[in-house]
Amino acid sequence: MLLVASGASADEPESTATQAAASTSSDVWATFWKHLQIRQNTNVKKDIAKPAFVTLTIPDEGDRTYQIGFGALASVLSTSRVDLDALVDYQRNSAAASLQDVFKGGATGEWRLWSTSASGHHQTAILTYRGNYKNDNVKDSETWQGAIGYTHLFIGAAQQRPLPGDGLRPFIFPNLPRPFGSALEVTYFPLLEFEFDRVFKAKTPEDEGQVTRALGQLSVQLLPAPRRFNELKQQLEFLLSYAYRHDLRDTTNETDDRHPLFTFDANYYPVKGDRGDFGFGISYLNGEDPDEGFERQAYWQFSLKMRLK
Amino acid sequence: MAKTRAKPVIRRSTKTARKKVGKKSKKKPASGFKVLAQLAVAAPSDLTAAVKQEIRAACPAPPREITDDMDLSDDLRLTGDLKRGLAGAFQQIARRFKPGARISLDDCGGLTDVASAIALVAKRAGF
Repeated sequence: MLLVASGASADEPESTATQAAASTSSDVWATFWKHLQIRQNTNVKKDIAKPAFVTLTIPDEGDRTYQIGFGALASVLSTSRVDLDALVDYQRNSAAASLQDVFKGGATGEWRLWSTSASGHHQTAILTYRGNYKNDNVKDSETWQGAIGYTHLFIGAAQQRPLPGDGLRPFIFPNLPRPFGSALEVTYFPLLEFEFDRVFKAKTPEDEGQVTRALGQLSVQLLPAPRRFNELKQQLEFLLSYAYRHDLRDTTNETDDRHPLFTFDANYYPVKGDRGDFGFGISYLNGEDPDEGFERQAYWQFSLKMRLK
Repeated sequence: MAKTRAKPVIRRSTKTARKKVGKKSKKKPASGFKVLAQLAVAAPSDLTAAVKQEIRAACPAPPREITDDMDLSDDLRLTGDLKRGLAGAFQQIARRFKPGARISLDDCGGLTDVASAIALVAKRAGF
């Protein structure tokens, strides 16, 4: 939905115009709030929305430590097949061996090549795109980033051609929840992407340059006893993700071309609603993510988590 | 890619439903959930059936019957992507009643239950 306020016409009485403006303003805020998403990061929108977290440690002696993973998406434009969101992203970790302090601002979106429906296409390619500014306070660099990605969406059970057995699509279909009885529901999200970085400001001229990376990512979401937890208005989830980035072209002085990243999350949400979830969980991370300015390392993290859907 | 054998029949014989809506619109406007409920009830049965057919088609494991009070996420297991994927189909339904009607990915991503989906399409279809 387009977040543009339309003003009242000049020939309307002032009170009507004021009321209309107030009404329009409240509509804009209602729309903004309704479509606001808060998640751990925004580098891959077509992904499992991991919850955001903020941890601040203030010891009696020594430095404060920050662990922040926060990304917000606000709708700018949305049609039946195309959308565009403004993004703000802040990742900070001063507790790990390799520091991270990255801010991003820009826009991201998706384009569904076909509309899916009962009588038409049962699947569609989804192209994702992103353009943003990145400020890395650890490397003291500024970068323009762009990304183009692809994944594929299949809508639910085939209605026109009933399938044998339980009538469900086989497990091989991506982005489609696959129930295994009432005990487990599994969804996997594949993504292929090309990322383009242009480092236009850095400590030294050698650090500046352009990088083109290819990304392959596979994320899996496991929901044990989903209906049971839904009855309780709670959710337990396990998320596994493996991303592999490879530098296809790099004119900076970085010598590492391979960037694997494995993450595991176990989250429990005792508070679950239509708009958002609040809970706590464990995260394990091993690898690196140059897109987020994250150097190679491994750590466990326990934290309170929150997401707006 | 699977194609349909027959398109859903959406009749334009909605005079009765429109009259009812017209009468209701003279009353004081209700708010919040009441409006959604009124729209869902006032929507013509062919629109309601078409919306439910689209929801059923999107479901990973559709139940035998889809009722208005079913939650799209919890009961019908529609992910955010699947809900957003309803936009094109819902827009087609709405345009059968009101050419030029628009329903966006974000509109559908924010849906919670079947009644809210019917209400959205009915509203955009001009009911």
